[in-house]
Amino acid sequence: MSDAKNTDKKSKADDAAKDTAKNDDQQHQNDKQKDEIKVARTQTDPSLLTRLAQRTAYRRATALGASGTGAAIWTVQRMTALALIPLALWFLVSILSMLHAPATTAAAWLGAPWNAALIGAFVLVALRHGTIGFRVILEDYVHSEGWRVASIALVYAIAALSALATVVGLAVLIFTHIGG
Amino acid sequence: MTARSTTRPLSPHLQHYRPEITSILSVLHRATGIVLGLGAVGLAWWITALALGGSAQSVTHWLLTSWLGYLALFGWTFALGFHLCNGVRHLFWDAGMGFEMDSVRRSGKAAVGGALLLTVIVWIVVIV
Amino acid sequence: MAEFRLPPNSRLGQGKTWDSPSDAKKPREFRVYRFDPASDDHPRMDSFTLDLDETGPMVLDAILKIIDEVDPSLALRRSCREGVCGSCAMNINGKNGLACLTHIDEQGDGPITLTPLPHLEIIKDLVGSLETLYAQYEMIEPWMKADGPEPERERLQTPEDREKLNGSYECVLCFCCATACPSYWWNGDKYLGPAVLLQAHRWLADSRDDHTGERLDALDDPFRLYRCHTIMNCTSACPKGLNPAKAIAETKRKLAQRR
Ligand code: HEM
Ligand code: SF4
Ligand code: SF4
Ligand code: FES
Repeated sequence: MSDAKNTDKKSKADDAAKDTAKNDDQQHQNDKQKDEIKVARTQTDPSLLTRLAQRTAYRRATALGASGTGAAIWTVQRMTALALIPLALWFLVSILSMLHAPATTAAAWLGAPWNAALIGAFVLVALRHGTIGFRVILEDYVHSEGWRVASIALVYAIAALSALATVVGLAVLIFTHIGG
Repeated sequence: MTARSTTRPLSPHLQHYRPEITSILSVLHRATGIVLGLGAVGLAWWITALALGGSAQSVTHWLLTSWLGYLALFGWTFALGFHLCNGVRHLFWDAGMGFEMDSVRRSGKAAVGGALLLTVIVWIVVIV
Repeated sequence: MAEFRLPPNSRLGQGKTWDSPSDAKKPREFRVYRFDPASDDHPRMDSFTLDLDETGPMVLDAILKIIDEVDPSLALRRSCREGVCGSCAMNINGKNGLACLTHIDEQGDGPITLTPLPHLEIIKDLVGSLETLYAQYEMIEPWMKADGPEPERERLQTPEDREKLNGSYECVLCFCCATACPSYWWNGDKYLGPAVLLQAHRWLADSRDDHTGERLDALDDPFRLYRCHTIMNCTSACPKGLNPAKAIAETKRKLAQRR
């Protein structure tokens, strides 16, 4: 049915194109293109279909190109991991022995500037490192763009809030410790 | 995930693939990373509570020293122990070292051993 | 979300148990994934029992015997039967490998389960579509790109530089590694996977290639390269004993070095 329509259109178009040779040429080009599309749709030429499929797969693979941000975030992840080795070891030996002590002793211990600095560094670096980690995990599993962006943003917000609370909290503890 | 152009079936994957020590520890690294991330937020809260003083401080202290708190802390110590050891393993890989399959398997066992050792030592110190 | 379960049309239906030789001295069951696009709406696991005394030593021998003597409609890819064409790759008892290089008697006791390479669209039986993998291979431009005039003779390379290609040029592109990689399962549309990344590294390592910088640019992407979490399923599966995970780590190191 569509074939009949096509030939009908073509003959009309042919009439109009008789005027100049240039027009004729153009028409010939168009027809050829139309033919290719028709062939691809009606599956009469398997090789053309294969070419089309390969082309589609190739375009899907190249997509929007490389973002150029992979190495940067990866390097920060490894740097923070490196820094966390001594910090985590220090944390393990010192903080857990705090458990037996009453809360006020813990507050006093945290108020000592060196302890505060080290635990602040540990928490901040861990938050940065963990944020990248969560981002990578979310990128792995959350495939809808909206949810991915939203969930990563939520992780960043929680991390930023925690970092702020840590810095302010430690500052308060140091001042109370030094002040009294 | 991707828009599929056909209705061809998908071959079995996760359900069917044989787990190995390497893939299991990789999942464990991810799981412990998540636990540590939650712990880091908890740590920020603990510091804030101590600074706030008053009831925030006492409730947090009570929570931490309850049996649930101890359980969470124990789990968190193991998570840190394993993630630390396995993280070092990752960093060696990143430096291009230890990539032969048998050394990968050996370092995996060492990471688990190191994690258990760290956890036990820390908790002996805590309890004594 | 990443889909961890099989889609409904891919869950296994009821399979067929084929007649086994009654006088078999060493009977062994083979459970084989079957899907016929012309008639099946679900894949199924068929059961074949062979007499190992009458069968060659390799898994591929068993499959060819099934085709010759039991069910000629079973489809698979194969050509060289000696591990150089890379076409008979499949999942054997839960691990990817080449059927022609896998000994039946190294598969322990119990039935031997044969399924296609994991997480591929299945064309028929053990034949999965490799279209995306080939497109990704094309994308890394696996050919030499040298600047300057054509040399009159071959392009020269020191023995030391030539040695850097060992461990990559032997790859037979069987994709045992890529289809063993969980990261490739979840993000195979964007992540290039270990097979293609090993080849990308092969061209980074070639002293005769002048486009290292551009090649690295094309890989500097959270999805194309950095989905690799060093799970090591790839290296563990490679039937040629190659180490794609290591090549990926070296590529990441090259990218970090130029920062
Ligand atoms: C409290 C501290 C820590 C937190 C909150 C944390 C959190 C995380 C998270 C969430 C991930 C992502 C896991 C994944 O992608 O599967 C991760 C990955 C990683 N962590 Fe940690 N981590 C901490 C400490 C450490 C330490 C001490 C090291 C030291 C060596 C380390 C080394 C690594 C490495 C190398 C990775 C990347 C693994 C990969 O490529 O998949 N982390 N971390
Ligand atoms: S090491 Fe990388 S490429 Fe190999 S299986 Fe693991 S994630 Fe995939
Ligand atoms: S690296 Fe090994 S498993 Fe991967 S495609 Fe090449 S030969 Fe096959
Ligand atoms: S048939 Fe060629 S690799 Fe197995």
